[in-house]
Amino acid sequence: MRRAQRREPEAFGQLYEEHFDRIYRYVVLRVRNQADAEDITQQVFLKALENIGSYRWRGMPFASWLFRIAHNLVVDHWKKKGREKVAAVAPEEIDQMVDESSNDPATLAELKFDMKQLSVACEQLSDGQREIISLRFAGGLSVAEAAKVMGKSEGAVKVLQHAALVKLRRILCPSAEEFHG
Amino acid sequence: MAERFENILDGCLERLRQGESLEQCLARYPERAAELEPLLRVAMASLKASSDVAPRPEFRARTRYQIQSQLHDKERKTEPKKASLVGWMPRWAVVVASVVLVFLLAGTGTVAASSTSMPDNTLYPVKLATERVQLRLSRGDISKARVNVRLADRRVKEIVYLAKKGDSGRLDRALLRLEGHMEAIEQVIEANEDRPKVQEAMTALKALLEERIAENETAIQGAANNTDEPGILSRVLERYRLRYQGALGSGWRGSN
Repeated sequence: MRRAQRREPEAFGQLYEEHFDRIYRYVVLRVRNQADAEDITQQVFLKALENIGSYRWRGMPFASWLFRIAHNLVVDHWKKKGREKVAAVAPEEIDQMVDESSNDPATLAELKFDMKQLSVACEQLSDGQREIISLRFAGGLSVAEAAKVMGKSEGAVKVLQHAALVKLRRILCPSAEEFHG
Repeated sequence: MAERFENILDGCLERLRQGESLEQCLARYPERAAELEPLLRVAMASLKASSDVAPRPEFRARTRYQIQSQLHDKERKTEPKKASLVGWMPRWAVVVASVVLVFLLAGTGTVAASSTSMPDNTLYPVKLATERVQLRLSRGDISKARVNVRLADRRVKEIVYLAKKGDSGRLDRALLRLEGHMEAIEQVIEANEDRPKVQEAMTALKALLEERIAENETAIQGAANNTDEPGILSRVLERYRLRYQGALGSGWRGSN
């Protein structure tokens, strides 16, 4: 890390390789558009390079620091877009995205959806729920790392994660929900 | 006391991530299995959906190239290291030699004259050498930090001077030195934050730092308003702020 902070190409390159895919997946899930996701991912690393000298451990893992940059850029992105994303999610889009088989409780084991479908479903979650799903399942962060990004306690993040999964299940498997009560 | 469900759920998620099967996970909590299973399946499908996504190779390569270009630009801008005349000497010998040199030069008034010299002046290396000796001679972390506060003031004056002259090469180097002083101060504050014995000295150090930051920000801002290229000084101000927020905490916003 010290070497990367001195902007040694090899050291920064290692950090780049280690985190690039995870950051990209997180951003894709948050913005649902490849061009925007690429633009934001690139900005994350350029910003990280610019500010890496100011990174201090102080209990904040590097991954959390990097994802916080990504989170801030995603927030800025949606501010600029005027939150048009809410309008972009039509109810029928949710219906279409759920595979017929996944509505059948008997075949819940085969639950399957792609990133776009997951992203559309996440639009129905609260900001915090969407963030925790993105950080944990797309970004691959641990609860401790996600807690640092979100500025919450680990306990609060676990509660949020539970609520988010319950809601995602209701969105993605509505008939299974009825079946189980 | 029964374990909270969100803790059980998270424990299962971690075990799935480490390669445990869903069945093994559920077998650990038979009484919660019915509740856990659908949530774990959604989580597994979410993980699968995410892991199927990968950045385009050409995008990855383009970004890597951009990062590398920026890194090499910075390297080029950094002053090339000159071979040190005293590189073979042990550290203590360099200190002794420097002290002797400073005392010898002080008699001639060279050191006094150098203290106000600017980076484009021939006496500037003497100024920097004198500063290094001052830092070495100061006893204790907090004394060193106070010297660094004073030296940071000097760097700000130099930056303002160089901005007026449009000398961006020397300005970049002065900025790096300024960041070095600020980082040293930050490390002292961080290391002594919880030491009750030095709290009085720490409070005085922070007060001094806050006072100097407010004045230096005003000086940089004033110079930015009076130059044809305010962009350089805006960048200086941004990096200066990042540094002092590192030292005093992000809640401290300087003269704003």
